[in-house]
Amino acid sequence: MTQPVVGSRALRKEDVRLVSGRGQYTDDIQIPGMLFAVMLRSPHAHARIVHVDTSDALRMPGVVKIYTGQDLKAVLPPVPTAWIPPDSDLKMVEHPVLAYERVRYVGDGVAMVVADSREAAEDALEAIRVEYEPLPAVYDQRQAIGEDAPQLHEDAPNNVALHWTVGTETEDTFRTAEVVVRQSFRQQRLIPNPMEPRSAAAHYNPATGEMTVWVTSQNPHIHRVLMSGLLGIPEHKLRIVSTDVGGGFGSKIACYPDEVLVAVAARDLDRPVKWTESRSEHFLATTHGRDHVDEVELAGTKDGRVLAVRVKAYANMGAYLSTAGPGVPTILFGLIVNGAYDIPQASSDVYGIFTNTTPVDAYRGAGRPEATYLIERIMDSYAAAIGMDPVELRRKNLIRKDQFPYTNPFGLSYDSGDYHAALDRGLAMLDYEGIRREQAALRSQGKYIGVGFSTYVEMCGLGPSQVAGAVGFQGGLWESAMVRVHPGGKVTVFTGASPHGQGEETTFAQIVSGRLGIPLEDIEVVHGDTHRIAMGWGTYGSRTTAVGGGALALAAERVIAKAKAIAAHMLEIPDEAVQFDDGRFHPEGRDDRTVTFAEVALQAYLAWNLPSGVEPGLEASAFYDPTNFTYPFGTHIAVVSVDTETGEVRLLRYIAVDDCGPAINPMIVEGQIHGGIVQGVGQALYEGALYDEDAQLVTGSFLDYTMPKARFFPEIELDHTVTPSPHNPLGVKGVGETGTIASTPAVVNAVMDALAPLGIGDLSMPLTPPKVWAAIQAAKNLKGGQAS
Amino acid sequence: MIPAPFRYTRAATVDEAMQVLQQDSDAKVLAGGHSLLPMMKLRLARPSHLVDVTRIPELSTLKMSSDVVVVGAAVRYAVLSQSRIAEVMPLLTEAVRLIADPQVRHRGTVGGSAAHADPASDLAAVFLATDALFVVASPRGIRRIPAAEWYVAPMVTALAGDEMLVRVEFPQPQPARQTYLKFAHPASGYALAGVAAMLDIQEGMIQHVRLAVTGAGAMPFRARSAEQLLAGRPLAAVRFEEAADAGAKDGEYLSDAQYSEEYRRNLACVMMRRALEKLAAE
Ligand SMILES: Cc1cc2nc3c(=O)[nH]c(=O)nc-3n(C[C@H](O)[C@H](O)[C@H](O)COP(=O)(O)OP(=O)(O)OC[C@H]3O[C@@H](n4cnc5c(N)ncnc54)[C@H](O)[C@@H]3O)c2cc1C
Repeated sequence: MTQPVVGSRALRKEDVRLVSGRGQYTDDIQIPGMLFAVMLRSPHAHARIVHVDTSDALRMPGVVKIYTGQDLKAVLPPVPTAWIPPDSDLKMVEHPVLAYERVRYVGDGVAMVVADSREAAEDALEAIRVEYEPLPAVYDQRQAIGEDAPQLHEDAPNNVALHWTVGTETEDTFRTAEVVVRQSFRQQRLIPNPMEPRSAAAHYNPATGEMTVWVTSQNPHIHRVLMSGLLGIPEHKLRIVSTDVGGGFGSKIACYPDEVLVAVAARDLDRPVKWTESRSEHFLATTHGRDHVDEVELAGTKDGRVLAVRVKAYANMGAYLSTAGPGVPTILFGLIVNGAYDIPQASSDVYGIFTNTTPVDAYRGAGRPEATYLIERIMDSYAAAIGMDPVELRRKNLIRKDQFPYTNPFGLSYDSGDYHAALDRGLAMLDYEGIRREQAALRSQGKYIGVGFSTYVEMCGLGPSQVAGAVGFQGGLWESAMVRVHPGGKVTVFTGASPHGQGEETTFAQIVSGRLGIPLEDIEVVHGDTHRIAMGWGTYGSRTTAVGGGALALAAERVIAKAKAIAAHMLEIPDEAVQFDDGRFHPEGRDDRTVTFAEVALQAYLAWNLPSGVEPGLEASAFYDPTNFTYPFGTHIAVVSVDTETGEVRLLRYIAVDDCGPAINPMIVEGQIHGGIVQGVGQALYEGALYDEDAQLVTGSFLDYTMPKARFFPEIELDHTVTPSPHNPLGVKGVGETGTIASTPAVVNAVMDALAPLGIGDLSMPLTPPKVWAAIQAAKNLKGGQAS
Repeated sequence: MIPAPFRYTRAATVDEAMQVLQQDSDAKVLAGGHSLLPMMKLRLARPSHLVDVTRIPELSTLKMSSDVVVVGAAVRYAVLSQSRIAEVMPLLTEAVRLIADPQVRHRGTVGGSAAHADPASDLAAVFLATDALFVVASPRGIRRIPAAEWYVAPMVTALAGDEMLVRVEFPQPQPARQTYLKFAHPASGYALAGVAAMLDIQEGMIQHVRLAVTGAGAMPFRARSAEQLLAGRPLAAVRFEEAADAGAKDGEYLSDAQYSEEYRRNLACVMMRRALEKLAAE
């Protein structure tokens, strides 16, 4: 092999299947005799269920059975949460699979119709008559903890779901600091919208007691753990399959009532049952992201040294606790609000609050975008307050290369980095001085452009398990891998990670190819099936390559070690004298006698002549627990123009310099960064769920909810620095979320920079044309008023 | 996601289509289906019977002569945008190319857009600016409805229940300078303000000004106040900003959760001014 395969831009193996329409997504599952389920969802944000009358619906053609909350409450336990942050006083309120007494958000499940066809099921849905007694509803978290707010759960007084504090003492510093900057940021609610909606299909075999559930999951083994408990089916009889999943962005981590219900019906009716949400349902009944109000304070010196930062956060949890929901605004947020800066003191004070809205859970970045946003935004405000250039301020406070490993005020140990190098690279690509000159020239013509920075760091590669336990995650965070060499020398890889679009069928094959010296096409990567993979924890938190890839590297090394022993025996030389490269074993320093990897594999299975003490077969597994998180970082720069007549913001340039350690496949890394940036810019400029007075979602479709579109973007300019992480064998850092984490504040900082001469200090996201325009009008009126 | 049950008939002639409409008052014409089917899937519309008119040859007419351009009701946007009509009415093809995406343009029809009467339909501005005539068939025969009378209310036209639209006639000639400018809703891509503008400049004088606005207002409208301020005036002496301001007052605006009345009026004004500036600079 001439070109090393690790680090090459290998085309994605999975794309042949996925782009030619041959993927097998959950909704593609067809089983003879299959029934279809649809869910009746509450049209009210908060109401008492007086009566559910299914009699007419049951008489409709094709209807097999209708389940209501009353039917199920005695037989099914409530849906649990799986993240219980310690010392947070978490209120584990009941989340019934179907509401039986009260509905708590628009979209809350009320009944499930099972019928011969989807058409029949939907027709019957309309014939169910539910009598509701509407109750006052609240969607805003700060109103929800206020006086006289409607109460959602009896065991969560004042709607407080959790209260969690962490960090150092800061009071003295704030009292004595030369400069204190205070700002309140709103993290609007986002709706994930992966391309594939959620879906579940279940098949039960009463003869064996085996239940198979195909489900759109990012973590089928976590689904197995949770559903095993809910259904009372032991893990060895419960198979969860999530092979082809069309994106998740966090929204497919959770175990939802819907998939449990489908399995219940399949067992009850002894027929396969399938359910697939519509896009309208997705807007209402799939978890949402973000939704914080963050009150931030920064203390610093007049010459730009940050001394302390603290935040009081109000996080909207929605109506119930979703699977990972409680961990997002606490652990994944509160521990990293100092960002990439060397700030001696910091603290976070977080309230999680129930409201009459769709439950909130992880959404690409999960907690870290919120943390990054507040620090990157307030750094700009601090720079403005002391009259310092925002780049200079960052340069002064960024953690220096010689400070790693760096312990932040919350005790996190940042692994490695050269933050200044990434900043310098970004500035060089930008031509910072040139842009400032252009900006000044345009301003004199009444035109406004702005440049914004985000010098971010994130913690990801979720693991190790000890930390998982310490932070209340009800699972492990190690990962498993098994490398199975077949007698012909081809390889199947089994991973407990569960990629759903990220491309690990390719990158994992590259890792193995690079180690075993066999071509990519000889390696198949299997994921997302609990019967084929013993155990694992799935894909989220940018952990797959750092943790799952780490496991894979170890397993491959174990295979090589065994193969070496067999090869030595075949070559009749001592084990230590064997050299293995490019898929061939030979005596060290000589290649006149070689055995190939395939020959060794065959020998391992024939076992005619194995060294003594060596078992037949050639496969190895590894359960790898990393020593710590990884900390990718970088500098993102946005250049925007603002059309003051329409309020429209246009992205003129976008520069991203990221460091995720050595890239296994730069093309895939770039794809992740592109997608991440687009999603982050989506939050900055376009996306945002809006509710009306009655807590009805008004942005319930793509007509009103703005997804970022390709035409909104210039060519994204990318570069990288490479600082390996010492925390895993590959030295890699996660890259699935960096774009989303970094880009949101970069773009908002750029818009604020553009608008600064008009005297506009802050605007809440998304920075839509009408919002920007209204702010410009208000600023003009104010100026006009002052002038007269 | 799934429409309520309905019957389907593919009509071969206008008469056959009309028969179905007459027999069943809950029947509806189906053209490209890109407005009707989404509503049926959400069960906001539940016609008992769909009459597909897209295979009626008469409805696919495209004809040009010196005094009229005729576009059949079932002519699809994609066909129109590639036709020679661009030579005589660039406004129409420019507008059509800004509708949605290629998929929608390959299904959506001129007649469907007119009959659906979405207040943000791009073609509404073109119909109004060009004083198009809607040729309508019913058991009582044929009648022509001028664009100014066509749009009755949002999603409501002057079409009676048993009538169908056969074709649209655009009188010719129209003013020589024509353009359609659109500020698209970032979510839906529909017009938040779409401006159809036409004028002639003869010996430095502005003549035959036509301005119509879609999307911004509660209804698409003709900005006659702006037209009056400009027509017959020397180009050097007019202030487009003032005209646009006056024209924007001809519309009625409503606020929604994201776009206020003020913002919509402002957009109408800005887009009109820009369209006029563009035409003047040609
Ligand atoms: C994703 C998307 C984006 C879109 N974006 C835009 C956009 O940017 N700008 C824009 O202008 N439009 C847009 N549209 C709407 C599109 O232009 C529609 O196709 C059009 O409005 C309706 O045309 P149709 O042929 O699809 O009509 P249909 O959906 O078939 O019918 C619409 C209505 O008109 C009636 N009808 C149709 N033909 C006749 C007839 N000959 N006589 C009597 N009644 C008739 C039907 O009964 C129905 O009530 C978009 C649609 C979609 C799905």
